[in-house]
Amino acid sequence: MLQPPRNGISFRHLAGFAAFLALLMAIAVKITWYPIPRSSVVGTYVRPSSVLLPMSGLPDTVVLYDDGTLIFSEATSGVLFKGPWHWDEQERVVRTEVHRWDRQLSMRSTLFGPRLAMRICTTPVNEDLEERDDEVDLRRIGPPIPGFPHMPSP
Amino acid sequence: MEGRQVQWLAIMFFLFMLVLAFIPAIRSVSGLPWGSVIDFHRDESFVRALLEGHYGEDPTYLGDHLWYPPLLTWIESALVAITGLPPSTIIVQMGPYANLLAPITFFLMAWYFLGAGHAALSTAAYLFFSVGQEPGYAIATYSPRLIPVSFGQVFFYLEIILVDRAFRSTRLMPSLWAGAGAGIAFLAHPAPALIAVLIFAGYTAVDVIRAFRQGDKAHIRRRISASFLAGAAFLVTTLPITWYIIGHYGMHTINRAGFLFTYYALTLHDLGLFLNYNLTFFSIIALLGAWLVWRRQGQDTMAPGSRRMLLSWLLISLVLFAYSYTVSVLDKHAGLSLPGTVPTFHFFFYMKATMALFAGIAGWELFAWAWRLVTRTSSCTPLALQPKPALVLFSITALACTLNYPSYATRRDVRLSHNRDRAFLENNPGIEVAETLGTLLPWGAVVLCEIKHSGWPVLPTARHVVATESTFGNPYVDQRQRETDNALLLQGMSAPRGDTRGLLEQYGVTNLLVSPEELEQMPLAHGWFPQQVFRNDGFVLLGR
Repeated sequence: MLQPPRNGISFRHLAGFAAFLALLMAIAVKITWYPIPRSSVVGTYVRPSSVLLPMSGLPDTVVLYDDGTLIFSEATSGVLFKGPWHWDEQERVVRTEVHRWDRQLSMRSTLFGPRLAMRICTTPVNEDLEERDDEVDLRRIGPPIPGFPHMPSP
Repeated sequence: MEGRQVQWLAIMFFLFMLVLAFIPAIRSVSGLPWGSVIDFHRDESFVRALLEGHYGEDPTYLGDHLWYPPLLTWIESALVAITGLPPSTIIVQMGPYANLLAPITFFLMAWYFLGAGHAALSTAAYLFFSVGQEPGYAIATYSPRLIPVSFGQVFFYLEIILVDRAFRSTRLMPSLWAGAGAGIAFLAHPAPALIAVLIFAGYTAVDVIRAFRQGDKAHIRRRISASFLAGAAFLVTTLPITWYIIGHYGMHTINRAGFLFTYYALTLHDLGLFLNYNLTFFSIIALLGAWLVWRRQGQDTMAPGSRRMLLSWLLISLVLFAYSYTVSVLDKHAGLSLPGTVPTFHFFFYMKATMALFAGIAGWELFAWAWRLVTRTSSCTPLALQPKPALVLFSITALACTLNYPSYATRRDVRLSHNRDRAFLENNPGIEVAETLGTLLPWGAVVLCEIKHSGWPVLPTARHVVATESTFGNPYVDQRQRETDNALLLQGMSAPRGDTRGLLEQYGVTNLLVSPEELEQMPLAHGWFPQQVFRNDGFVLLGR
């Protein structure tokens, strides 16, 4: 037998819902925008493989040294770029003086913390009329490897 | 009473989502006086043409006519006139505000067709879950970028309400409003207007055939009269642009590059990217919703006719998408020139909008199933009209939006667009050219330059060129001929050619804009253009 609806709510429910939404809004902002210091960007990153993203010829290892040196390396071609880098904390982007590699790495927020993402289009940012800003999240495997690209044997 | 409570909850939830979506949008344009994308430069050229009293003229090709939908540039021109701010600043900074109309009208449209509860859930899908990491111009969502594709959806959502109302009776006025609404949508962007007009035409055909089978001649007469009136209203409303594209050009498209353009993730070459972006939980839920609607399930709170509207909208978008895609493929690979409309991704855009609606419907149905399972209750009142379940579902969805927020708020559409705009502003000598060219040269000036310079810095200044980027050039003009002549003229600056004088006269060329490095390779340039009008680190402007 069908029952009459017993699912009404009171003004207190509405007020509680409003407070809940306000709380969620504050949490959302808090977990999205926070300072990311340069020190937390330093490290060795590897690019995960993907069958869907076109990534041939892209660096598969990125090392950001604390002394300001950046290395983009690829297994077959070796070092693609080695040069100075600096961290733009406002834009959350890795800057280099070389056009091709400038602004290719940037931090995006995720529920599980910041992730360093790399553009997979090889055209420099401001020469890319199609805005091919597709990215791949890099995986941090540890602090910068001394003497890279000569990886220590496991 | 309880239905009213659900409505209040839906409004509260909607406002929560709207504020959350607005924050990253406004951050993404913070401090930007210019935007980098060529769409902004094109729109600025039309704004400047209007403000300089040349409405109806093509700001890129001297002597040609308006070809691009003008509604957005009217609004931008009005804002420039009211605020006194430069057009480039208005175009960039107004985006997050003006585009708020998109989620607002989407919510209103979804409420009209699906009810308040479903509308809130569909809007959550529309705002936070459909775009992922794809560009905002390709997906129906709220984007901070004020371009016709994003802004035009506002008028589509309102228009399909008008279409639905026009077919609830055979009265003339609702059809008149629907025709005028489609016309206004056309002034904003052709794609939404085309979909709406085809829905209207399809509804008319079905209605007439049904009446014919029933032998109801009076109904046929009334329906055809109403639809003719709608068509007349459409034609009158679109006159600000059809006057030119039909009156002057007869809709005879010569330059096909504009509508042959394909968003790269929709090409077969980048199929992997397409799958990467679209094999998602959102897509599964949306497809489930489409299946439910097809099976006539989950329609307790839907307005009559909603199912027909949603399926017509999806089907027509799909057909137009397939057709546009075929036109592009045949043109590129078989050399066949079928009539085109607009680039393929515009129809993909509106397919995605229906997906958000379907996702909202599926979300409710999944929740209703779980609710009844957990509470072991049944009721004669649809769950979407009961406040307590709505409160629970909205709370869960708000939590999901919050958990997804870090990714959403730093998605490429806001984060990388901002970075791109910042990169554009750094060491860009073109900005000084773009800011001064309009004062240095009169409206009738024609600047000879490389095609790349015609897009930037010349395009936003509304000063004419010999040839511009083909995808941003007037579709009713022989673009290839202009490109050829542009190249010949530039060659004539380096080595003597017999056709240089004639071509300079033919196009009314008054100035030459080149980089200092290019000028070094043009020993004859000073002979044709003896006056130096402007110079900075990146550009030299010479005059005749």
